[in-house]
Amino acid sequence: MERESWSSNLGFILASVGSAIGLGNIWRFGYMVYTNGGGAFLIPYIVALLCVGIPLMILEFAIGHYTKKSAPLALEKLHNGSEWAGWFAVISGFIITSYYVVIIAWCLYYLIILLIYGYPSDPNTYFFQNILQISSGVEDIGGVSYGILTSTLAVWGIIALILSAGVKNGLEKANKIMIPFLLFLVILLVLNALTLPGALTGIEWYLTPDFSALLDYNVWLSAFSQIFFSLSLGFGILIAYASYLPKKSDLTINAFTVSLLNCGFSFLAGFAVFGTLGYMSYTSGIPLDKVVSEGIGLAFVTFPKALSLLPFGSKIFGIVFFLALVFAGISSAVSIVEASVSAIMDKFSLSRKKALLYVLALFIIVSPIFTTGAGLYYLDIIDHFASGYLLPIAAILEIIIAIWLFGGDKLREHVNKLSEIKLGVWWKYLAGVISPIILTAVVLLDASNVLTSGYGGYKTTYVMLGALIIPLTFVVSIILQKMKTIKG
Amino acid sequence: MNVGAIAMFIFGALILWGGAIYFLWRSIRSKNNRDENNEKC
Repeated sequence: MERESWSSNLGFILASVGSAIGLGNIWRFGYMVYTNGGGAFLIPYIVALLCVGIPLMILEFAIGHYTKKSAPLALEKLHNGSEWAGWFAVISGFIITSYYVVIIAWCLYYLIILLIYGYPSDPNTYFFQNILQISSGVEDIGGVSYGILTSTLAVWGIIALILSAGVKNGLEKANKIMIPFLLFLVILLVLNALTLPGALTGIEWYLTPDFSALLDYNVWLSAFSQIFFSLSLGFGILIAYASYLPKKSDLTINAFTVSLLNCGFSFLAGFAVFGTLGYMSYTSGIPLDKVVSEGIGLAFVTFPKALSLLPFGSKIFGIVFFLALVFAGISSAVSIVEASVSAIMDKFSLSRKKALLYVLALFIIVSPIFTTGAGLYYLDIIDHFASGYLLPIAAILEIIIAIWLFGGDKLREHVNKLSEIKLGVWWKYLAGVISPIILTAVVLLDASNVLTSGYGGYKTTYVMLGALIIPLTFVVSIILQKMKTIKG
Repeated sequence: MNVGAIAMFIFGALILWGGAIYFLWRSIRSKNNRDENNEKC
């Protein structure tokens, strides 16, 4: 079977940027800056980008481009018996997508409700009670929120439609539309925010540097985690994407472009968030530090409240905001599902449509659990271990296999043959030594916090059940490696 | 806005936005990334 390919390098860049830009770029980055020394956070953030983000992205591009395979068979090609490590990355992505799609469904559902009924008078009660129908706790599964379930199926439908059309006509075309449009939507939000009274005060809170924060190692670890999780590393996505590149491709320049576009987008989105929150603080008289929030609290409670206060066009800007979230989410979700689809296609020599069908069937069994009343609790616990542990472990395994066992110099030589910017030996040390040390520190620090203080106030039994996904992922990865590879 | 915030805005904008535009431009004009030079695999 001939391997699919991108029709242009720009298509590859936009698809990789689409993968990297997700909901966190809009609802998390600004808050990270604000709580970690304001503008001073940009210093560790850029250091992390240069020392870990870009070197690891070059590594993933190099693995995919050198082997022309998706993660499991790519790692097997680099070192015999390493296929399971690739499956580990793919399964981590699978687990994350099963609930990530439900979060996109919340955004889609909110967007539709906003279009029909406008803003709710109490966004907090409306989101948690009416939309999520949240139950009393983890042990109370509650009923299924049919609105969210329908939206989840709709999001899966969109993903299936994009991926079934293939790399060129599906992934590439969809990202060529979604990414410029997403950028346009965020620029609209920024421009609107800048015209509002109080916006500059909000931006001042966002950017005023507190250089003393740089002495706190937690700020540096936050910067490294933010870079790692934001660039779609450890999922095997970029390995699959680079495997579709033509022989002659400048991997180094592409890695710089994708990483900087992703980080530049986050920086831009921070202006929309803080400008609008500054306006909210100005009109409501509530101090800014009392209105600042992140994640779902920002997206579904604080921001709708802030936008509803706009003097004109409040509904339009609400639609723009939720549409931006839906696009950012879908462009990331398709890339994670593609990592699973391409891995199954390569391993079992299946057609794209068949592989997609099997993957979707599995997702449709797992995802609905997150649309129940206790879905948010399950999501919170599983996300903690999937994002916080599985992804860094997957990346460390990739590094050990590609740089230590296969040979960083061989990959460096491959990249340098194709790239205008030549990598020095420093790349091998940044990707092969510094990155795994930092990733291990991030994991160990969190593990010690969980062991001493638990997580999120949940009972230890539930936290332990959540942590079970780590050994389970190992077991399933090894089972998949043991299955016979069918040569196409 | 205070001077510190303006300085960090310039710092972030120059590196993140300036860098993104510069590398996007380089990636488009890179000989290795031009379609006519590529042999499809």
